[in-house]
Amino acid sequence: MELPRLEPLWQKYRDQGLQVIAIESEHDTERAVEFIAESNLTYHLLEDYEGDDNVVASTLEIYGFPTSYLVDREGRILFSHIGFEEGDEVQMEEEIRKLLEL
Amino acid sequence: MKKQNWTWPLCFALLAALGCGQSEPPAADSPAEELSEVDQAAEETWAIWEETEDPEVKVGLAQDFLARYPDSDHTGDFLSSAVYHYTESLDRPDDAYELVTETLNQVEDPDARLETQMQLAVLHSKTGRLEELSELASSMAEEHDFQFTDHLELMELATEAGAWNLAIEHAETGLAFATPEAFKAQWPDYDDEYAARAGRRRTAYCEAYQGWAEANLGQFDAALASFTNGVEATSYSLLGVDETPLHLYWGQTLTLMGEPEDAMDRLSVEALFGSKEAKQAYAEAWVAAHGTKEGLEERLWALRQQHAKPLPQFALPNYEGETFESTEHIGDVLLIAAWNPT
Repeated sequence: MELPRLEPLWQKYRDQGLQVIAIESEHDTERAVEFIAESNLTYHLLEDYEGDDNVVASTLEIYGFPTSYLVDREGRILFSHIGFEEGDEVQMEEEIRKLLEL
Repeated sequence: MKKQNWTWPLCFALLAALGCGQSEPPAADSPAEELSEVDQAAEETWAIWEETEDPEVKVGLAQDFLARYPDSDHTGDFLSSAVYHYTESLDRPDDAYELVTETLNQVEDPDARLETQMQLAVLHSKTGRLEELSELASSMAEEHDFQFTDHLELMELATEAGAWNLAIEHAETGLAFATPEAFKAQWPDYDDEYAARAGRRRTAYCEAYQGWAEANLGQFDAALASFTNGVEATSYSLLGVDETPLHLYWGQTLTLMGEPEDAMDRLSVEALFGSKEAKQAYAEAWVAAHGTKEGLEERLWALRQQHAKPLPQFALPNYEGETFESTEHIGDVLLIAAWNPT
């Protein structure tokens, strides 16, 4: 599972300007809240709805889970990850460092 | 569809072929008390499945379920999940064969039979049994009224196995379904605009697989003609990535033809934001052009700056009811992860 792997990244780089935003896409609030509490997640945790619309699919065009985007300081999507395997967080950290210019 | 695994490339193809993330039009939610015994058992099994990371436990769960309920709406999902773990995680294709063959002997429902046969085709493809794969595909086509997605699955399996003529056969047959009308015949709930787009994308899929098969048979002119036929029909993600494998195969074909610079042009956006295969294909073209991997990462970084798309604005609530506005975070580096808890 990807989300708990993001917590250490957020803790490590939050002071340098990293924001981690997880968007739960299924409106499965009960299970989401349970999972968030169990995993002690402290970054931005959002629910996906905007009226009848659905931001993950219609705005971010994400259809498979997990998928993540890394956005630079100018608001451009510089990296994307579809799926998540053990060890992907290492590559993600490299990319974060690159965007934070560390 | 229940469990699909993102590491399974076929899944991408099927989802994208349909035109979005719905692998099937959403089924009506039925209240828990109306669940049949088999649905109830399936739900309980999936719940345990999600709790474990151990592939041995997962295949055991699927085995147990299929032993109790070999012939149900869940047959295909459990079988495909078990086959995936037997072959990809445990490297025991013989066990997968045994399970699939045993299940096939007990299945009478036509949909469950098709799904079971398709898993046999997956195994033939993964183990390189090309003749068996071709024979099975023919007998499946005789037994069932194939939909586009069946042709697509066989194109993909044939391609993975290097059964090029079989891939071409299903690409050509599949093309007959590459219309909005054919899409609506299968999925009547989608609107016309959606069906038009999905119909075009089906064309791109067929031309992509056909072209790549032709390239592998050394028929480069035919391959380029197929890609050219398909490219107008394809569609692109938010990041500009082709939602079909057309650009990937086109680029790989250009490398085979000794045109690595053209290959890189064709592959650049795919390599940056698309699949690992596309990045690999770009690296191969780079090495073909330069004789070394040196400079590749710098080139990709420069291309990334050039092709990056702006993050669309959005505003969403957190669990305390406060709203997160993406526009308030310009100047930060954002890691945005979409997930679901199931």
